[in-house]
Order: sequence, then structure tokens, then C-alpha cells
Amino acid sequence: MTAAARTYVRYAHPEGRVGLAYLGGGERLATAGADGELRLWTGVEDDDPESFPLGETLTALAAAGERLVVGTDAHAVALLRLPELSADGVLTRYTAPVTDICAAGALVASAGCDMLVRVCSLDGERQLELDGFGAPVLSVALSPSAAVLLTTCCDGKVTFWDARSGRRLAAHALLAVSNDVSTAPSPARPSWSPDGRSAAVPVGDGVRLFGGDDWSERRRLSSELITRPVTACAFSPCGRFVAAATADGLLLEWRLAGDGPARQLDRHEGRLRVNTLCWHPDGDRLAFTDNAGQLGVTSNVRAGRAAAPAAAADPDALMDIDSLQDAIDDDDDRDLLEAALDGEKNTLDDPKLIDDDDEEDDNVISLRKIKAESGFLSDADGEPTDGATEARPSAAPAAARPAPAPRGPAFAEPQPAFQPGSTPAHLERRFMVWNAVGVVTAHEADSIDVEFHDSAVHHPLHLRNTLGHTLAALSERALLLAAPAQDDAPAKLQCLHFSSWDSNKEWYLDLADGEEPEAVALGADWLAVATSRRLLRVLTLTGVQLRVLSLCGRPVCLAGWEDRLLVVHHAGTGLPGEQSLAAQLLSAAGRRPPSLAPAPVPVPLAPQSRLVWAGFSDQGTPCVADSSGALRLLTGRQGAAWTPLEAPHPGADHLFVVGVSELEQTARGLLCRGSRYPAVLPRPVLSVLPLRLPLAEADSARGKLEEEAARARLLLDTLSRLDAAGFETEEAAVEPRRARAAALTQLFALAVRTDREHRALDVAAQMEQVATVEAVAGYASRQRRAVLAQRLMELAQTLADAPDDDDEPEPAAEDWAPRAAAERAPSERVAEPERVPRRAQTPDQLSEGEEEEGGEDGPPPVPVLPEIAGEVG
Amino acid sequence: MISPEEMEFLAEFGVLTIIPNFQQEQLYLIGGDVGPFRPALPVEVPVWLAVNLRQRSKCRIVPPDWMEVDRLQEKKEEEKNSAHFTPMPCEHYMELTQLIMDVAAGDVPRADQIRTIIKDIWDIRVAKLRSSVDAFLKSNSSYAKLDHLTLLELNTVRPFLNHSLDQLYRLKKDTYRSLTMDASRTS
Repeated sequence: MTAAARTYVRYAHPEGRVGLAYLGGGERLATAGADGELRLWTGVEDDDPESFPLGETLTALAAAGERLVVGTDAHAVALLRLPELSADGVLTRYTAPVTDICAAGALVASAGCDMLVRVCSLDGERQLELDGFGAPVLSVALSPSAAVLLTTCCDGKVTFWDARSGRRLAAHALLAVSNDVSTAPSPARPSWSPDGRSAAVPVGDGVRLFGGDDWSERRRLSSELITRPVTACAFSPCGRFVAAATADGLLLEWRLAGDGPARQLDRHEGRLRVNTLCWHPDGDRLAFTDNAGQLGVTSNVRAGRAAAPAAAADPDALMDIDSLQDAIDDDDDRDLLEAALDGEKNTLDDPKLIDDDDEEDDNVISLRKIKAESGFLSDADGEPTDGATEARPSAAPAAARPAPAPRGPAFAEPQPAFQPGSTPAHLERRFMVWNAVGVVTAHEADSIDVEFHDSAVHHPLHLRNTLGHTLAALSERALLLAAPAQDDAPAKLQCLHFSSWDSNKEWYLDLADGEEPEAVALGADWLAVATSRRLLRVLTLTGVQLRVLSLCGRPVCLAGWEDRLLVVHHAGTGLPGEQSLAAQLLSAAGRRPPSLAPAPVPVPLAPQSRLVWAGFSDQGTPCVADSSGALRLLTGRQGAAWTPLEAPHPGADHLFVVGVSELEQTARGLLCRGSRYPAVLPRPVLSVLPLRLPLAEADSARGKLEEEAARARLLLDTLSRLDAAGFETEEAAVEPRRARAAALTQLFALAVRTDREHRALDVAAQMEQVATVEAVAGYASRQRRAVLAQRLMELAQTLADAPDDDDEPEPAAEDWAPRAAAERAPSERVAEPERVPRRAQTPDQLSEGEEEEGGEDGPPPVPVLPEIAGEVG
Repeated sequence: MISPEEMEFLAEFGVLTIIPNFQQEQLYLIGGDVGPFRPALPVEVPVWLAVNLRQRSKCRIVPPDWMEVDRLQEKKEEEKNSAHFTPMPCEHYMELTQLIMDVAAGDVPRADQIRTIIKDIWDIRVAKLRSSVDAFLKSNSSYAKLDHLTLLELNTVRPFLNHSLDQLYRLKKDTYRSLTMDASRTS
């Protein structure tokens, strides 16, 4: 029987544990060993594998799609991106070596010698920590749908966990107890069946199968061939065989259907302990590594199975309709499919999975039905019935491979609420907020540090985080913290109103029962809280509750600036993989009632991206940034128009935006290499990056000039808005005007040189000043372009005749007046134009508003702030 | 002969990036304009100003890009493996490290390691310098050429080397004279 299988063993790494994984469709084999090298082999006979030195030693390896996950000598779980194996960030760190890694779907489970197991999402945004192990963890295995995590531990326990919630599903004390991974008699490498319904764990001299909804032991596989402990086992890709390896190098497999004896595949010539076992996706080759760091591959495994019962002559036959149907019914598979389709899926706190139990129950019912139909083993009360199994082996549910069946669109998980400028809450040290005023840092949930960029604002603060605050907002006048509800205490707001002139600078507010704060924002003299009950609460900085408004959707984030409040909320279900968000601009000024914008504006996002930052530019223009790195300014005049901007950051992977200045045309942010979020230590340095408009052909001379002209135009628009709002902008407008005129003149010359006179005229038509047009007309006539010069002179004439400043906005549409902005405009004092007070403004507006709506009956109309109407209407 | 204080003074004309925590208009200095200073926004200033501001806790110093453990380690290996002097990332690396570590060790990640590596590099280079001086003297050459030496390194050997070469010259001259005198007497 064993004649056909061949085993080839070769040196791969020095003595020690070797991680092993097949990549993609099995074209390549990756190993990582004690010499710190990661090798990619095209096959076991490959004498020249690609080697990547990654450190002193590598302890574990797993493949996750296009990425490899390795355990490094720094006790870190690092991501590497194929094909160059470029570093792609560190998922998590342990205080002791990483013992095992397993990846499935969008999750990576890893275990450390420090008795911890962590489940992280591949994007690094979610992390779940499992503890309660009595000894170092030997191995971890995620079910193919990443729903269940199986761990084996030196304390002898085999434990099943819910990989999303961290709930313990079942625990069995079966293994030999040891005190360390290196002294354990067996690494006890478990394996999941491809359908995720049963798991095989090597226990003593055999393999045990677990299954059912209570993950209890279902079957024992043993053999008289085995004389030493079984170290590893692996389900074949078809799910109908379980291969196992022992401490003396014996390789064998069981056919799951029926009670047949184990079949010896081969024996390691050196009789060394096999540590890992891994099937080639074709199901015909079995790779393993031994204690001496050697790599072995047993090929032609399938040939030996020919002697098996005739009904299973073609063991890898495609599944029949029943098993396909079976796969479709399986919820876990749908999860897997969704996870595969939706990279952004937020698997760890998926609300759908909180009531997972019910779904599993449904699932079990359908499973039972199918099992009853097919008459297969391992039903709750069933021992295998040989006859039926022999008759219909291919219908066995255990053999059902998760088949990608058409299931309709997979909708993206709505992105959770966040604070702009904060890093995820699961990090030990994290920024609760980083904005133009200062930085609020949380350390391991017990203390909060507040540093102000400008030490003149306030001295640094250090607070004990006894309430468990998770949200923070910071302005030059106050610090606002919000904590979710604890066991017995309701959710709390804490405000440090340090600019208060009385001696009482701190106040607390309890939210209603069952109401959780989702986002907070601070403005000039108000603060706002969006809560899980879809309420927007507006208070003064001293804690007077001004208003409660209803939000039109699940809140995403809030941002405040002076008297303006930007609310971003979910507007519905997006297209597959996309978020659907809307923004509302409110005026939250103290004395006037908050006036709502007429309608929420849709928030544009790049394909498959999420909102990562929202705020106001230093000049008060709403601005958003998405996970693709694009920035957008809400610059519409009559209607909402978003102007896209980009801030190229070569050398860094992501820009963590903390501010935007329109006057300087720069974005301020923290550059992140290998991760999406900046680390607290070492303290990152703020980078100031120039903003660009994403014009086409931006690298050509023409594209550059066009971009320059368009950007100067954008700045002039901003200045004219500020001018209308009562700022002195003449001085600040000189430079952009000059830049725009210079760019347009050069564009004009370029067009003339390339004989495009009509285009040259169009360029000239954009010039604001008569003098410029006359100058280019002179240039044209010197270039002997008589027709063009003639038309230019006509253009100059019309410009001269036209009433001044056709660029000037309609006062009513543009007249937004940030209250007392000039004194407090954040970090822009140098460039900020002086404000000219215009006292008559507010009464004018009020009377306008009354005139417009005076004809209506009922209560006096709420004066809709013209600026809001202008911005979004 | 330049004293170490003077060399430090020379090093202070370099440029460092700082992150101020105050608001200040542009400063018009003889060496050029500096600023404007805005809280949390990095700005380039002369080293002496950076040190002064840091002493008054008015800023954080951003360590120069070469002041990083991995790069310095690489540099150290290169220096160790090369028979000749390798170019240093900064002409005043020793002085700058000293200046920054004195006032702003907290601003530099892994400052202790950096201090050690810089000291190692210094030791390697000075040892190399001594051995090349030794080889130069033993080979009786009339001149030697050394590239990529920094000012401070040069000044560690300059006073003694010049003096001793003078002495050697004098001794040689005397020997020569006595020899020639002996020769003239015998002839």
C-alpha cells in the first residue's frame, strides 16, 4: 500500500521549529526557521529557494492570501506582502516568543509563550485577546470561516473559542501537561475540516475529532501502527482523509468514511519528530517539517488509496448536488465569502454575530436534516453507519468543500463611529485625539495625558482614567471626555473647562440609561455629543444643556469649529463594499438655536474606502479624508461641491490627517510606515505636506501650470469667502493672484508656442486683470498672431467694461460669519487676515430671514443661517 | 589648534528641526531668517537656537535623520569593515550628538544605544587614526593622505602628532649632523 508514496526530505533550516505553509494554489512552499530566514521553494527538489533574512530567528508562519504572517525574534507577529515580502506592518506583539500563527478569512490568530492568544484582523484595526491559559499555548487553529478558534495548550487543554467575541465554547483537558513549548511531548497541531464543522486534534497515540454545536468529542482515530505520540494532524483538502504524523516520523492517514484502519503513508528516514504537517492543495502531496529543521514532502499520496473500497475509487470526485446545497446552507461559509469579498469587513464586533447563537442553532437544524438525509455519521446521537456511508460516501457533509456559490451582493459593514484624530481603542497606548490644539493620549486605560501644542494655552494635564473614558475632544478652552456605561453606572461625560474664570473647572453629566456616547466635539463655547440613541446633545462648555436634536442616521463622527458643527452619519446601505455617508452642517452657536442645514450632503469616498478623518480647515471649511488618502473640501457655493485634494507622501504608507490649512494649501498629518495609525512612542513628528489638485497629466509642464492656476483659484475663492465674512484678506490675496496670473501667462505662452490660439484665448479669458490680458495681447502681436491679438484686445475691452469683480460671490449666498473667529483661529495667526468687525451683520441677516419667511403663520421662524443655506443648499 | 569648545561652536551653525510649543513671528537673524514658529509644526533652526530653546523647554528637538540606531549600526559595521575612513553622515557627528544628548536625551528614541554606537564609531575611527599614524611613522614616508576625517578627530591627534614629528625631525637632524660630522672628521 505504501509502495506508491515517495518521501523526499531535505535540509531547510537549522535545528529547531520550522513554520510551513503552501502559498496560493500550492505553486510555492514557504518555510521559516531558526536561522531567521524565510524561504520560498518552488518544490521540495528546489535547490535554489528564494531566501529572505528577516531576523535572528523565526518561530511561526502562516499564509493569508497575498500576505505572509511570521513570528519574529522580537516576539512580534509581522505581516509581509508577497511577492517581494515587503514589510507590511506588525499585527501584534507578545512578551515572549510567538508559538503559532493561523490565518483564515480576514483574521489572524497567534499565540505567545506568555500564555496569551490574540485574534487580530488583517488590517490591524481589531484585536481580541484571549487569556486564561495555565501554560504557554502550543498551537492555534482558526476554522476556515474564521468563526471558531481552537487552541491547544501546555496545560493540557484543548479549547474552542468564538473567534469574534472571545467566548469559550468548550474546553477539554486531554493533552499531556508540560511546562513549556520546548518540553511538550507534542506540539499538538490541530486541524479543521475544510467545511469547518469538525476539528482533529492529536491526543496521545491517536487523533480525536470534535464537532457538533457543543464541540464535544465525536470520534477517536487510532492505529496499531502508532507507537509514539501523534504530533500533528491535517485534514486533506477534500476533507475526507485525516493525515497524522508521530514523534518518530511515521506518516499515516485515515479515511473518515467508515471504520477502516489507518494507512501508513511513509516513514521519515531519520525517524525524527515531525512538527508540522501541511497538505498541498491538490491533495496528493503532504509537506512536513521535522525537529532537525528539515523539510519533507511525501508525494503521490493518492495512489495508495486505490486499494480502498470501490465506492470511493475516485476520492477527490467533485461534490454532488447535495453537498453543494449543504455548503450553501452553511452560514459560516457565507461569512467566509463575505469576508473574502469585503476587505474592510469588521469581523470582530460584527453586530450580526452577537446573536450568532441563534444562527448557529438554525444552522444545526439544517445540518441535522442534511445529515439525516445523507445518513452520515457524527450526528448528535449517531455512530457511523457503515452501510449508508459506503453507499453514498460523496454526499458526506464532512467532505463538503466550501463552494463559492452565488449569494447576491455582500454589503459592507457600516463603519463604526470614531473621533477624528484618534487611534483604535484596542491599542495599549493610543491617541484619543490629536488636533491643532494638542494631543490627548491614553495609557493602558488607566491614565490620560493632555499636552498642548502651545504651552501658552495651558500646562500639560495628567488625569486618572477611573471612569474608563474612550472618547475625547480638545479645544483651547476645554477638554471633553466621554465614557461608555459600566456595569452599574450610566455613560458619563466629563468636561474640564480650564478656561473658565471661576474656580470650578470640572463638571460631569450622566447620559440616560442605555445611551452610549458615540462621538463628541467641541466648538467655541459649546460642546456636542452624538449618542447611540441617535441623539445629538448640544451643551455649553459650562454644562448647560442647550438643545437635543435627532440624528438622521447612525453617527460616524462629529467635528466642531467656532460656531459650526459637522455631523457625519450613515445615510443607508452602500453599494457592495462601500459606505454610504452623509454630512450635515449645523450652526451650534450659543444664543441662537442650532439651525439645521436644509439637507444632509452625501460624503464622497474613494471606492472601497472608509472615512478616516473629518474636520474643518483652519479657515473653517468642512473637510474629510478617506482611507485611500484622498482629502476633500466642501467648497460649494450654491450647491454642495466637494473639491478633491491629494497630499502625496512618498516613502510613507499612510497619512494620518490631523489638520488642513487652505491659506497655506497644506495638510498636516503624521506619516505612518507599515501601519495605518501612528504609534504613541516614539512620539511622531507632524509633517506638513503640500496639497495638490488631482488634475490629469500633472507631471507635464502644462499640467503643472494648470494645477497651479486652479489651486490659486481655489485659494482666491476661499479668500473671497473670508472677505465676505468680514476678514481683511487684501494682503493675503496678493500672492495667489500673482501666482495665478503668472501660471496663466505661462500657459498662454505655451499654447501660443504650440499653435493653439483658441486654447490661448480660453486661457486668457480666465485672467482677472485687464493689465494681464493686455500684456498677453502684446505678446501675441509680437509673435505675429494678429487674429489672436485682435480677439484678446476685444476680451480686454469687455473685461474693462464689465462691472468690477465678477468673481465676487453673491453676498447673501456667501455671507457666513464665524463668530469672533480671528482671535481664536487655530494656529493660523500669522497668516490669518485681520478681521474687520461688521456689527450690522447679524441684525441684517435676522431681518432678511424674517422677511423671507414673514408671510407664514405659526411661531416665529427659526432664522436659517444664510451661510448654511449657501454652503449646502 | 582649535579647542573642543570652538569646534562645538562651529557645529552649532548647523541646522536642526525642532517642534516649538509657542507662537512667534519670523526672526530675522544675520545668518538668515528663522521661523515663523507655530506650535506643533516642525521648523528648521540653527543648532544653537534649538539648544537654547530646548533648555528653556520651548521646543522638542527632532533628531537628525542619521541619528537612528539602525543607520548608525550600519555605519559602524561599514567603518569596522573598511580599511580606510568612511564618510560620516555629518561633519560634526560627535559634537552634535553631545549637544543634543546633553539637553534633549528624552527627545531621541533609544538615546542610550545611540550614545554607545556613536562612541563605538568614534573609538573605531580614532584607533584607525592612531594605527595609520603609527604606520606613517614607521614607513618613514614624507606625507600621508587621509580622507573623511572630521574636525574633532583631526584635532585629537594634531597637537601631539605635530609636536612629536617636530621632535623626531630634530632628533633625526641631530643624528644626521653628528653622522656627517663624524664622516667629515674621519675623511
